[in-house]
Amino acid sequence: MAKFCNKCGSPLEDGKCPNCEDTKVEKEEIEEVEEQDEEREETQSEILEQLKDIFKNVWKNPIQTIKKYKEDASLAVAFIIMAITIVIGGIFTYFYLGSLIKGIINDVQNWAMPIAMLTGEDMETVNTDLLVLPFFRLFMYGVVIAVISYGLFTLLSKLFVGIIFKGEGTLKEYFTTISIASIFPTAFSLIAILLGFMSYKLATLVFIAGLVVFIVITVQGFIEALKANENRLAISVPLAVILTFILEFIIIIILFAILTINSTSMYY
Amino acid sequence: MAKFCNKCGTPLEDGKCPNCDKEKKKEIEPEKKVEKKVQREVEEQEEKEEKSEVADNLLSEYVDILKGMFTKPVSTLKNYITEKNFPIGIGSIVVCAILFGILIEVLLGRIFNSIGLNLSMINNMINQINTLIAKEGITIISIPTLEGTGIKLGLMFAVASFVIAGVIYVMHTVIFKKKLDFKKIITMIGIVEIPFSLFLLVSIILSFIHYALGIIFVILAFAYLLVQFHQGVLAITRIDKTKTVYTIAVCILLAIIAFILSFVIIIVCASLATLIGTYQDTVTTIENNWGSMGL
Repeated sequence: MAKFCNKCGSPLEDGKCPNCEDTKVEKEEIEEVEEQDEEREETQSEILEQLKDIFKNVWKNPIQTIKKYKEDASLAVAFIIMAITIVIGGIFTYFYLGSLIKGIINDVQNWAMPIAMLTGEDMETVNTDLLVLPFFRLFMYGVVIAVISYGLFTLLSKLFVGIIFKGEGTLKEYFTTISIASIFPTAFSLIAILLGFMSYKLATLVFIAGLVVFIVITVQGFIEALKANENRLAISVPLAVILTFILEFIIIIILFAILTINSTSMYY
Repeated sequence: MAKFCNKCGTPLEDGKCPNCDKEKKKEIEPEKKVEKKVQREVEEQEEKEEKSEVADNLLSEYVDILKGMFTKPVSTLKNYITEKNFPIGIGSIVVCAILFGILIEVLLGRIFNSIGLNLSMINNMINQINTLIAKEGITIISIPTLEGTGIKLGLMFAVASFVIAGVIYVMHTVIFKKKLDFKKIITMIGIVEIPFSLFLLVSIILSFIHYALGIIFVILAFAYLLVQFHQGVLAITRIDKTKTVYTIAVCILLAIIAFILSFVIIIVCASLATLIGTYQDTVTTIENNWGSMGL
């Protein structure tokens, strides 16, 4: 039986060379790390490819895109799309609220002017161009509202369409469907931001149109991609949509109350 | 060949006696008249029976559709959207528009009743304010009265249904270049509105308990109607379902705008009534408190 290594001449321990075995382990470790790096690079490029494909095809064939990616897309893709939606939701909240407040003040002033003429009183007008709104706070409100809305809608859709009325699809598939469909309200929100500089009414109309397209595509996604129970869809979808709005409203009021109480207690 | 009548001796005209043939005709005519009358009566009876049969059939089909739209909406839509059911479609749109108008009137009435006022009093008040404004020479503003709101909004409902049908038709034939029968679209919209009619009826009843209940129920019913409308368009469409998404979105947007426009009046009136009611309650509470303090 050999007592020395035939590669480096070191004495063997339990029939193995301490030097050569160490080098072997190191080599294996390096190879493993390299493989992991390659895999990560591959995954990253795959995610990028999927995102490119989704953003390119969703406009022409929204349902086909949902069908294709509901299973194949990695969860990361769905999360990236949702993150973009949420960030744009925050930006939209800031610009839309600005346009809405200024528009309403101008409208009220236009209405109040004849009444002031009628009563013979002088009316002081507000120059809305001087109004400055806090960007970060409104942006964060928008982000929180978007997170709550899409989160609740995904959970409630899975509950009503998937569980109670026995549709197919996992929670991940519901999330992927909703996140792909959310590209539409995101695009409409961007258009609404631009239109908001002209008229808050136009911006509101475009924003509502975006929500309608989102719901229509989501519903069709549920029918075609997630094999929802079509005979109960008229109950499950309104329940999910309306409960999302109600719960969102309650959560926002609670959050607002907590924030107000905290700021008041800090003041004292 | 005889030239004179062998009965009265009158010269014949074209081989016939002008006197005797007239009498003969006179004798035959009453008999014929009786026969014709009987025949007409039989025909009228048959027509009436046919009509009542058709009416019975329409009514029973209406009820069948109503049941089907709750139990199996998809197959009901596929089975009943035919040209034969076009009268049901038109009838349903009319019924729905009437019920919608009634609901609006009932809601307005109940909203103002909750603060001890009625619609005619409100209309009088608005007319007086408008007269006052006009007297001052201001023509820019004029407050719209609530007179005939139910009829106007009922009409708007019917018009919106036809406009939506028109949009579906134009999207199919002009944009996507596929043939689609307009009658079929109207039938689809009518069939989809059948369960909505029932919901409107329930909303009217609920409004008598409290107007808020009626409003909440009709909003839920509207969401139900939109999803069934979506399924209805999918049932009649002949284009790729992906492309249908945009057609449906445009139609649903139109429906939502029409619904919001009609309910803006209700929401504004309800908010006003709530404000006035709160004010009245506060005044009463203060008066009672002052009374109990002996002031």
